[in-house]
Amino acid sequence: MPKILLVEDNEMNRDMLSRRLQRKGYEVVLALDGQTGVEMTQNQGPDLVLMDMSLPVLDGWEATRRLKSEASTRHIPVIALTAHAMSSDREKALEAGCDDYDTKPVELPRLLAKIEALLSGGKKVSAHEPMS
Amino acid sequence: VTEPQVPTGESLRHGLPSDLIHDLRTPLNLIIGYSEMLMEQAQEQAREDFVPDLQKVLGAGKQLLALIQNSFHPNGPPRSLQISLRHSKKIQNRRNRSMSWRHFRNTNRQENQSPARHKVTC
Repeated sequence: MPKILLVEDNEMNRDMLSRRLQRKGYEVVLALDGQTGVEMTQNQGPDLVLMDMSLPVLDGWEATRRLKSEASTRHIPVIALTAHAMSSDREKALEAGCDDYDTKPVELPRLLAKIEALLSGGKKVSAHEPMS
Repeated sequence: VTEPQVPTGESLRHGLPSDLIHDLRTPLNLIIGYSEMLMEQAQEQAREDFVPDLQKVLGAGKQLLALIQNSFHPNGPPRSLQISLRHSKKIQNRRNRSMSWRHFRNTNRQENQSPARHKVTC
């Protein structure tokens, strides 16, 4: 069962998305801020990280930069999740090192397709590719 | 002293700070997500009687999301929405003009009825 680390500070978003992912057969572990997200990635080695970008303590961009700058966590795919829907937000997330980007409200089939693609070694999305 | 955050680029072009769009989309994420999850659960547990009402909640959430997306699209709202917004503005302007005229008429009436107006001065 693939393990997903969900880094999300909003309690209801965390509850809703973790339950939906568990129902689809994933093991979900939770972090409430970017700093804890980085530490849990280092300690627990999830298969994938779903990273909200607007986080307390350490925001999602900086947390992703730290994960991608460390040899032990660089290979773990990170999907940025944000309720900001501007194209600049997507580019900013991908430039921070995120492997893919999705907007809230989450369309579960679309997010699951991105998760599956990355878990099976799918290609990293370029910051200049058109938004899906 | 912290500098106030000035909206730039896209948020300025949309005439609204991107934080507002974020704040509108966050509760919608919950409305859409929970209603989809409850619909799945209702179908699994053979509680089909819940599904039509949940579909209404989901439909309303998606309708609101489409409105937000269309209103704050980089190219501006779609033509249908622009027409509807222009129409609302016209109605509002007409109301304002009518209210101004009524205010002028009432004020004028009060002044005419005021004894001070008929006071003869030498």
